[in-house]
Amino acid sequence: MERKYTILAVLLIILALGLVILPKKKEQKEIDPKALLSAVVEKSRYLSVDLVTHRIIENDPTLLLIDLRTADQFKLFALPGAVNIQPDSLLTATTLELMNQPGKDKVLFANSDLISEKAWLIATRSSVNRLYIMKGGMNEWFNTIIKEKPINSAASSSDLDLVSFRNAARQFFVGASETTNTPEKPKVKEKVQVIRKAPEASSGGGC
Amino acid sequence: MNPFIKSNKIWLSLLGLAIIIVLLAFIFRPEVIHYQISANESVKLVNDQSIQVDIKDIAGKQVIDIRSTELFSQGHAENAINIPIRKLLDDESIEFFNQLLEDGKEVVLYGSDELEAVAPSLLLQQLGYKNVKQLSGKITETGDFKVSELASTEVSVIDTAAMRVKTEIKKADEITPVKKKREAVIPVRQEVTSGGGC
Repeated sequence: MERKYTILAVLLIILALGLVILPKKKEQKEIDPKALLSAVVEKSRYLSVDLVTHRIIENDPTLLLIDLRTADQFKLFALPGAVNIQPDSLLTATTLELMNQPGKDKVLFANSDLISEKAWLIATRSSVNRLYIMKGGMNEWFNTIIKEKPINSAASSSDLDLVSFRNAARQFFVGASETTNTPEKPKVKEKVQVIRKAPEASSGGGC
Repeated sequence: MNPFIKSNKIWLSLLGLAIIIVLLAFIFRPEVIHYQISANESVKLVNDQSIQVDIKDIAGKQVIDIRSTELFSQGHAENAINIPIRKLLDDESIEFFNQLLEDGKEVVLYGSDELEAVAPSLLLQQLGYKNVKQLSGKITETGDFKVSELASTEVSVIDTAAMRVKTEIKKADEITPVKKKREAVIPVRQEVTSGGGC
């Protein structure tokens, strides 16, 4: 064997040793802690209940709602299209497969923010991207969208738009019977003036 | 010069260079912070209430204010030190957390609201700082602590009776499908025109 091949072999062995020194690649891809902390600071990971509601009504195909409440609460009422996942099964193969669907915005929510905040951190650590939290959870959603609130007389046009959107959303989720914030106007019987048509002359022929 | 070295000058210099690169990469490798708890283990922390500390229990613990420096300067808790959330994993901060861990001192994080400290404390727990907890409360503008009940807000306030309205209507529709009655078609005879005419 030529000497140069021996040297080349030694060179490769040294480089291979270098690979041994490098840290092992973990089976499950994880985000670096510093990158995770940077993601924590980002406020864009929170979505308002109004925005989520708008996307539900629009039947947004990129929206995936992940409901972290108990199965009983989920059975009683759930947002359309929501999937119920218990926090302890957050990192099962099935859940990860669901959350790693490309092109989907995954929105976590529980009754409030505490559980979804923790779930967000753990799922983001496991490299789940496009993951959001519905700010305030289902309680905030119920208080904002379903519960009627009196309209402030000094409300701006944008506020009024928001109120009318919420009224429409309430109709969407609850039905027309539960809606209308504005007091009903008393029905005034309209006077109808009857104008009698004069009897027409018979069309009987004749020249 | 040795004839072997002379004939393999290039290969030998490449070998030397490779050795130097590997050694330098090893010596100056960036200090990476590793998770000490696996992701699957950390799932258990979601429902763990023990990482929260009540305001009445913070005496003797190292209190860390994770708000911005500006907010900290406006008012903060007594004996609290400021490590803004973005700097929690800086080398200095990690050194400080390591020291506190060695000393066996408990650390309590707080922010503008209770939620602000939840994720950072959980992250530090996953990095092995089991002494790091989160305050069940927030700091007010006057620098006093205020109890906030984030955990209790996880109780559902949804009035399911109101929400059932639509589902019941839906079910009723499903049970009794409305069948369209076949409309009877009555042929209309064309009337003879009464119109006269010449």
